[in-house]
Amino acid sequence: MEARHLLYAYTAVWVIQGGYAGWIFYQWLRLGRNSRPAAGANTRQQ
Amino acid sequence: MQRSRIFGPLGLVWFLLTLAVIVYATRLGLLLSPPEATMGNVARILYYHVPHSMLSLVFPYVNFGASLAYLYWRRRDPLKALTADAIAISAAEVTVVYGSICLVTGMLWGRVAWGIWWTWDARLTSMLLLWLLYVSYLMLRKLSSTGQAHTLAAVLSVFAAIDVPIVYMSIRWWRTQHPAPVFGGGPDSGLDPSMKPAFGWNVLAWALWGVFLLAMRYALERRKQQREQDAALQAIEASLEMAQ
Repeated sequence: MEARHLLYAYTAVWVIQGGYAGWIFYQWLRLGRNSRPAAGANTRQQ
Repeated sequence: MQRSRIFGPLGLVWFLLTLAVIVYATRLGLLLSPPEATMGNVARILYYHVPHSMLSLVFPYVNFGASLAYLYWRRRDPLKALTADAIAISAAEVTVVYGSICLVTGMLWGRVAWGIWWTWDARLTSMLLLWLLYVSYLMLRKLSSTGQAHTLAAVLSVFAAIDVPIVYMSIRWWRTQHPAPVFGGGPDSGLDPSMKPAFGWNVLAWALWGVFLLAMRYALERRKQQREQDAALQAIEASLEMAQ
């Protein structure tokens, strides 16, 4: 029982921390992709 | 608005350094430090649980300071207010992450040490309340449809920060299921010297990681703000073109 709870605790830490960091990185990449203007967009300046 | 440079060379160095310290600290905690006298190997949860608990009481004050700055700057200097707002939401999310780990690892340890997953004692209850306050902060930011969401959240964070000293002092003010203070708890308190290196390195490791997460999230928020500003400017330009 002891070893299992220790394993669960350390795994939970890695999952939560890694999951959050991965989410941030994914959002960063997604924002970067969405920043490009769509094909055919009117980018003419006045 | 200047772009964040967190993914530049400094960010990469910080990330690699942090990973190295985490690996070293985890090795110390799992393999090299001795088992605890009464609880044996399960007490190694301490090397993750306590640093995360300590840091979950630090990041709320980053959120608190940034929220105060946002409330001060929002009418005086909107650009500074945006910066403060980005720091505030970043710190709130990191608080929720560290608080979640504190609660989860604490329950796992408590199940073995006390035979129960949870009890409504002062420390556990006040820590759960802290977690709920910051979850509600994030939900308010995410779900509010009014233009005042950021201001309301900043006010909420001022009150949420009041819970932090209550969490810290709960094991001193009240008799709790949670263990008495290890550090600064009186003449019989303190960590065995053989456990101190692993504990110290783990505190450093997760502090470095928390700062890295905060900086990454801040950079993401600043990028979102930049996109929103660009979109607003494009909409204005489009409406001006249509009007001509």
